[in-house]
Amino acid sequence: MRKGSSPITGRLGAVARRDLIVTWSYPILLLTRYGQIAVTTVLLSFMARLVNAPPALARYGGRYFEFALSGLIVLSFVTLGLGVLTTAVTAEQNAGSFEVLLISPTPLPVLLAGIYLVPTALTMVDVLAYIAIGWLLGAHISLLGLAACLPVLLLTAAAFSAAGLASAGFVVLTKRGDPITLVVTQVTTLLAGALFPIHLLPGPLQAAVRIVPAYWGLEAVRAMLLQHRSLWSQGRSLLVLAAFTVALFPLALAVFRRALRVARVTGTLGNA
Amino acid sequence: MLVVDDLTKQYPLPSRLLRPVMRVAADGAVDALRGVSLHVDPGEIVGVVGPNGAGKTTLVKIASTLLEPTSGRVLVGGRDVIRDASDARGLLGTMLADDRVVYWRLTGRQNLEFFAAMAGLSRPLARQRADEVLTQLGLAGRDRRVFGYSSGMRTLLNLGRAMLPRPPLLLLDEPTRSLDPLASRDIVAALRRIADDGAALLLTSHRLDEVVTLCDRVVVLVGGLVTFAGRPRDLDHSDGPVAALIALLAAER
Repeated sequence: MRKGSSPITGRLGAVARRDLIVTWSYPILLLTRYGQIAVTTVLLSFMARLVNAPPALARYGGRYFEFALSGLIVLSFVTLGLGVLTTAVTAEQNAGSFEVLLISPTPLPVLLAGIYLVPTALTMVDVLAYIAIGWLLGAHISLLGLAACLPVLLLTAAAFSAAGLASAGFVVLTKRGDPITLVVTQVTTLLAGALFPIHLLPGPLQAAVRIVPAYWGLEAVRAMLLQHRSLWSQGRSLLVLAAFTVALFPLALAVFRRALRVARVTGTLGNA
Repeated sequence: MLVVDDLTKQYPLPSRLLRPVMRVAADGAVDALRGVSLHVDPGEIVGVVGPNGAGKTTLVKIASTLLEPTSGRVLVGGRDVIRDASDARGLLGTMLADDRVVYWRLTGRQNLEFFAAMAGLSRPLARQRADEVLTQLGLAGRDRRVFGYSSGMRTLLNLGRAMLPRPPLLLLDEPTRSLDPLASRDIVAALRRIADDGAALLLTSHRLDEVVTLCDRVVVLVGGLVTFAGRPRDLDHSDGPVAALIALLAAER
């Protein structure tokens, strides 16, 4: 490394600083983000009052409010993994800065990793907001338990980042419209058990759910938050999430690089 | 420092599979460059002029690794821009002809510090270079969010972004676009100093007077073909398409 040159951490820090400045420059957007979290949490607390310790939730402590809150927490990290790169690529293309980023000497994986930093931090703040508002409304979720769930949550995001990267490649070429994120989000929300236990689904679907990474994230987080189990007892979930990441991410990176190449050949890299 | 060897670029239509979802500008393939060859040595400024659609920006984008050529090759400091793209990028500073290439929600200084970090400069060095470049371009003391800049100021910031890492090769697509005459004069002087310090510069321009004043050599591109390559003082002695181009550019001034 030559004198005065920046290690990877310096470049990651620069991307994070840029994103923080831009995010902070839209204060109304931040307010609406947390307003939406508040409304959603309040809505869930009222819905939970309709559902009084059903047998379906016995395994999870019987309380729907905590069950659904844990589902939203995991879905926040699913959205993080799925949506960050697509949003970033779209924003850079619209702003006209996509090309200048790609011609910088910063390696593509470093750039992609840097793009995740601020959204990850914001997602953690989202989760704290869910918990804080939940507490005010009577939810019983331990902050220490949540902290212990962090590796599971980050692995869940990582497992979905492959789909996110592939969809970002799609957006590089099409500029608008991303069917991958839409389909994966709908399937995950519907099937993985975020807002209702999967054993309420028809039999064949219950088996199919196990190929959705979010199912493993939800099971691990609920085991730790609602059944007070340790992180180490969730080895199977952690392994499955890691396996999804390791298996799918290289393929997704190849798809993204291919999309960049097609855009370079057709001359459509910088178009919005 | 820059070698362009028999470069051809045809913008193809996307594959049939992608055509329904990719928007393209033309109904058929477009020939942008046809067998272009040129070189730029350290300490030299080469100007590329030509009418709109001649292929000037295509040439800059291929050399800066944003486009893939159809055939031919481009070497930056001996590195092939396709096979050794990441090494080539480390030797380049590129100014694109679009004032949206900086972040409008950041200040000029914040933009420069960010791009300096992306170019690999450490944080202290990035701050130092940002200060130097802002001063050199007359933007120091006017540090506000870029959406409050005039188009000329954004052009200057774009140029400053390319200059940050003191690259051995600068690719500048219309560097004096939107600038007032005084700012243009200052930029021309700054570019001459950069070349005198040993950097190689390739610039495109519609402003033939600046090109003649600033450039050591001029390349004229018409319809993707090089129709003249030589010293500026030799332009007046050309005839045919080049003479017509000179007259066209002179009429546009």
